[in-house]
Amino acid sequence: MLSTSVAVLRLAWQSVRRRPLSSFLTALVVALGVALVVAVETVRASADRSFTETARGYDVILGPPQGSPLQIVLSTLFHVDEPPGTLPWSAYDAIRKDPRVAAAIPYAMGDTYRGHRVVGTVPAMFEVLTDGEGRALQDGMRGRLFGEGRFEAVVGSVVASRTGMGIGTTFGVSHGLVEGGQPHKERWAVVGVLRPTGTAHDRAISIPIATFYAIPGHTVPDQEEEARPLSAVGVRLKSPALRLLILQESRTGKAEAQAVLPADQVRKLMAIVGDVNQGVTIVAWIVTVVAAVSILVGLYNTIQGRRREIAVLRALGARPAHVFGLILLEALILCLVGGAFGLLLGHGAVAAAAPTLLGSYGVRVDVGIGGHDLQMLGALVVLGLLAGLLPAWRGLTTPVADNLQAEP
Amino acid sequence: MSAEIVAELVRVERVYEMGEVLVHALDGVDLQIERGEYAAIMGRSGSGKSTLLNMMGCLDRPTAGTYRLTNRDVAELDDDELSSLRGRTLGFIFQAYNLIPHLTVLENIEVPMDYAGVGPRESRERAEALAERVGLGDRADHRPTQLSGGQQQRVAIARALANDPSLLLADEPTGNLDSSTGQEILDLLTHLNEAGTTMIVVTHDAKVAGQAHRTIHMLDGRVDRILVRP
Repeated sequence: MLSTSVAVLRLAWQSVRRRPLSSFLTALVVALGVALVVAVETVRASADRSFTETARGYDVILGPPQGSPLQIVLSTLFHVDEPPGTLPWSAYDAIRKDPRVAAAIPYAMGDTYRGHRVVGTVPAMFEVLTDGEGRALQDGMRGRLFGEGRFEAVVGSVVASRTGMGIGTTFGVSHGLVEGGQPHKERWAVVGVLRPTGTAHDRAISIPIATFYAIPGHTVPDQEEEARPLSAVGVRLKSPALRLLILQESRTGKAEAQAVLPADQVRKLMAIVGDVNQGVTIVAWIVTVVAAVSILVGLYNTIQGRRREIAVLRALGARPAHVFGLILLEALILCLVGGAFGLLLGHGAVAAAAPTLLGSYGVRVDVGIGGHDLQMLGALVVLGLLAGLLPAWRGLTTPVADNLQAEP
Repeated sequence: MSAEIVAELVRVERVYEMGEVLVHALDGVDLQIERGEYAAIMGRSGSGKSTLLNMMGCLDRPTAGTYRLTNRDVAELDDDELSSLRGRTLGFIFQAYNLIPHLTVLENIEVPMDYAGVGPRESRERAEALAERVGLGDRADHRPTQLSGGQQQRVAIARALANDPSLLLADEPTGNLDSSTGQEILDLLTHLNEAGTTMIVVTHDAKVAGQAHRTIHMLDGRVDRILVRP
């Protein structure tokens, strides 16, 4: 009967409230577990996405013949790891002229400014590369792109916030990809600042590739343009389906460069990172399950002290199912109240950290409640019911007459 | 014209197994309780009076014989039916009051109505009227710990009356109270009986039994003798 069910629910709620401290602590443990799951899942999903989507800008990357494909992808797209060597400018010329190629972007790397990587490239890079939402890097930037051959620079948002660089700032670079290298005397002026994109370019400084070669030591004097060294060439094809053909040709062609498929390399990387991520997710879930077990233990122990109350309810007309439902509902209330609090806490923490993560680390996290949270609530209902089962059974089997006798 | 029978026990037995030994807690009890009656059950501990009360309260079932409550044979009812019979036709008053500690006076009185499926509005109105009737109208929002023993027992009495029971069972209702408060409770029970409530009181106190029309003395699981007040 409806009014009876409502009454049982009310009774369960009052019973949970009667033990404020123990109920609060139990719900808090659940909340922390859930918040942990939410935070880990959000960051994991965001990292996965940003990794996978950053790799989407190029169909193929040409790198030096030596060095592993993963190293080439990491150094070119994510600006971690050093470029494993160089390939000659002629390789760039050749691929640029290939009719199947929509865009080819050269990269020359090897210098830093206060720990931030300096990338010699062409302005087209900011159009070809996109962020996780598919917007070109140049969209929404302040200032303008550098002009070819001019001593101008475009800096990422993290570089700007960490170094205080803005439009008009001039700076020099030092040799090497680690701090403390030999300073060069050339000076560049910042002409543009990118919006936070959540990509590696938030942490990088880009300069025209011609000015990179103007730095003494980067080219041998009077070197033929053909022989100038490049770190990599990012290639966008007119049809992504052609990438396997290009890969094939690279293997059989001249050994001055190797072609790698960034999507494949990122997939391999994600497979490794994914295991770690999964481990972290499992740990977060274990915390939540432990919380559910604490509900079970806490509730189970209260039944001993509530035998008289249960017996009285039975004497007053409660059916066995009412007693069972009462205790099950108490477990469910603790689990769901804790869970709802945990969802708020988790999403709140992620939302609070999101601007910092993007601004200071260039990591874009997706803020907001999603379908994953519904799954989480569903899982909590199941956990709550499981946690309540044993205590409820104990309540159900509490003898009535024996527990009504005179003294407690 | 014979009076209406509310509760009837016919050769009721209740046998417990204590290891190898069989204990006959009730050993063939025949008893009839008429509507409007006020009966007391007396006897030493171990005489079977508590078992008899549990039996009449449908908290226990006979191992032999028949118990009919408002013309329904308890043996034919399953657990759910027995629970609702208990909630709708019986009222319990205990020595230790047995109120639910985290509920207010009104909420305690509402519990039997909740399980009987009475709607919230009607149940609130009836609870308020009952609190008024036992003299606790001004304490309706108090919790049991804020009340004296006598007041708690009044709440328990109001709760027992919630579903207008056919039979009210009281187990040593004044056992935890001082004599003057106990007397107030006995007076209240007498008033209720005069207003039509059928009442059975289990006690070892002759003064309590003295309020009843009949006193049933139990001995070794049998009805030893029945005294009718002149």
